[in-house]
Amino acid sequence: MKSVLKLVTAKTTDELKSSDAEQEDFELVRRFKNDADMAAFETLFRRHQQYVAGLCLQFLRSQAEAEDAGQEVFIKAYRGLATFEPKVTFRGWLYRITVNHCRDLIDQRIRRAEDSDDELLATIATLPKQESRLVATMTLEAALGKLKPDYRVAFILQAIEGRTIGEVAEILGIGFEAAASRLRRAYQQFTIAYDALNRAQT
Amino acid sequence: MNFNVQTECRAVEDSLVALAANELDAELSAQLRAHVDDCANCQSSLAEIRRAGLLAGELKLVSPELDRYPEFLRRLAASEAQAAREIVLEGELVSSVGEVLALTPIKASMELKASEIQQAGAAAVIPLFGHRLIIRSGFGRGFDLQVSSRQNRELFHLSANSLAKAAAVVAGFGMFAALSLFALGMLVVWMVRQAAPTFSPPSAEQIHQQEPMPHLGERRLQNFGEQKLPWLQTVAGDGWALAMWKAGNQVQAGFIEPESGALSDPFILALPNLGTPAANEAAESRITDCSLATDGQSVVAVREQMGNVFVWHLQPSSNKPRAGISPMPIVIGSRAFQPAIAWAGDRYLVVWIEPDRNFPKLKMVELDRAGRPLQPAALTVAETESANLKVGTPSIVAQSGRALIVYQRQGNSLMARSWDSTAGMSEAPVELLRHKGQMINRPVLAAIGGKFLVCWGENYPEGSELRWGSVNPVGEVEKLQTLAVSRMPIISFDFKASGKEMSLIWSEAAEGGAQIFAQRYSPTGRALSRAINVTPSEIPPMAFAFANAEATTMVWHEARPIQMQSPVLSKRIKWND
Repeated sequence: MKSVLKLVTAKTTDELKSSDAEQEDFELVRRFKNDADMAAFETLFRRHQQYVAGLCLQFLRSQAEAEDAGQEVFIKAYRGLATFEPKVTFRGWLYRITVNHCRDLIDQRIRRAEDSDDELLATIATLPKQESRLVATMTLEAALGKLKPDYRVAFILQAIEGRTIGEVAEILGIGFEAAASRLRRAYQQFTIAYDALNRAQT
Repeated sequence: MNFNVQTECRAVEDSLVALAANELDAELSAQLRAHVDDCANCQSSLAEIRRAGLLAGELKLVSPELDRYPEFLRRLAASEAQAAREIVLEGELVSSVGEVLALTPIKASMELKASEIQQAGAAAVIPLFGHRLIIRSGFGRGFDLQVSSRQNRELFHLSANSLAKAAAVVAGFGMFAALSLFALGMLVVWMVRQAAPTFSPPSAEQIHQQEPMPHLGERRLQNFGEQKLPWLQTVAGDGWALAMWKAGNQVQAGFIEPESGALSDPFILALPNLGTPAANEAAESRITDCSLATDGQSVVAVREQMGNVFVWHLQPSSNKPRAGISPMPIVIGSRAFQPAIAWAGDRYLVVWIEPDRNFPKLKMVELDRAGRPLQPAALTVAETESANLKVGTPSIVAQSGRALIVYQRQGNSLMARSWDSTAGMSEAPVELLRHKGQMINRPVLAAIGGKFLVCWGENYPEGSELRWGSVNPVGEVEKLQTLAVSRMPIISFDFKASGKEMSLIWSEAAEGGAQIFAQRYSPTGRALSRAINVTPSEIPPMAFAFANAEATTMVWHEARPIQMQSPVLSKRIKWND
């Protein structure tokens, strides 16, 4: 079934149609770029801050870090808005900045060996049995932490954020097939890690 | 499996994610399903993908709605001030000009001027109120002072060819720079002061835009046999009381009529749509800690659900919430468990446990009367100092701008920290007491006349006891006393205190079901009555509590067999004098 792979790519994500909100965003960007209108930037900020904060939280799993990262994303957006072209939506552009920024933070964590789950696993082991809910949640977090950064980002975008495979591919700047392959491996690694952690606790 | 099927599997395995996510059109989906139906390996892979998707749904976190713009402005100002210092102080003026210019739209003329500067001498570019202040020095060949907008429009330009003129320009520039720096400093100070978050609470329309959870109507009860005991909590205000309890997969609440003690028709505490069916499904199956407090006029309920703390603002005066569902909540924290709330006279205080890997922390946040956060980040009340001294299960009581936060610490310690609305948190947590037996649920706290009361229960192999302590506003224990002792295990209890007396109600395990007893005490702990049996019916209760602050009514949740509706009932207590 060599042709099946080709057929998979036949269904791509629909291009985002321009909507009123997107046109408003473009107008606000134009006012900021041309007239240095800070009120326009403030409106953009307020319209998208919750969206960015939520996305940072899904990636970084810590509210304090997510708040910090969200601010840095908007600083980057503020500085980089001069180069924004309306070929993509403003939200999509902001989304990519957010994903890249959080991905960098995750990489830094791994380099600093802060992403080790040994301590987390030790915590799970010492929780009272009646805290089963807490144990389950922390086990899931530990399993998510086991994923390689590339897989973790794709997994969060699709399985948690609910993006389509095409959107994941577009955000990560990879092909549709590559995104599908990355997601398959992510799902596989996640279930293997989760099952292994559960076995380790019994 | 033959070679051809193996080849097919390799070709289709990456497509299984799209199949599980329903992202293939009908024809492709049918083709893929035809292969999967005949291939055990692909069936297993598909099942694994679907299972992972369900599990992932439980990882969805909700970010609190905050006004982050003031913080953004503060950071932006700090970032640009830092960039300006680097330009002026580091001495590499030429390269710094290039760096600064690279941050903003550059036109050809500006780039040309930069190269001219390199040939002529040195230059500095200072961001200034959204514009640029550019100074060029020709080292004796003249001075050039220019102020241009961010879009490279020249606003002011002054050149000087002679030394006298240059000196005048320098002096003028010096004065201008000094005034500008002073104004910039004042601006930064003003922005820092303005950085206190101002919240724009969502309008009623925004709150109700979210769809309610699609779980109306009757639901089958879960089997509670293997789970923690269900809870029932109450809160009383000026002439009204509210009870909240766990009912199957929902949290329900009802108002208690002050005269008759009857319970109104219950309403469901609504949960927001978490975005995916898997997340909603997981949320429905998780009944978690809930806590209530009132400012006398309305109620704020906090509840943890999948690691997020939700807040509902309920108005007794507006009678029954629409369609049997409460207003939608707001999120005040994520990665938070075991919340507790108290009214401190002008604000609510909410405490919770934040897991934080193997060192959980106790956090606190302040809310206004409508349950909206007053700060962007929670304050740390207590930290776990070592892996075998974890903190957990907090309780809080507050009165007139003071609060006492009590929490358990591994090693049989009951810890406390006091808070004051003007002085903030006390210097450090203190150990209230060490308990010998196993704690029964959480301590119940109350406040009388400027003092805080802590009531807790301990189970031992040989029996149980309920104890109380009086704590002064700075967290010092003034009195410890046993209120009730039983040879049977005590399952749960409730405690209320008013200016005149304290009331205790508790249940003891007995053959045939739990028996409920109640007793009254003076504010100093002297028994005012003997313990009376107030077990309301032959059907043992799942949970119970005093319905009001005066402890004249009890409300309980009957334990009935699975598949039968388990009602919440109330009745007046007849105290024996």
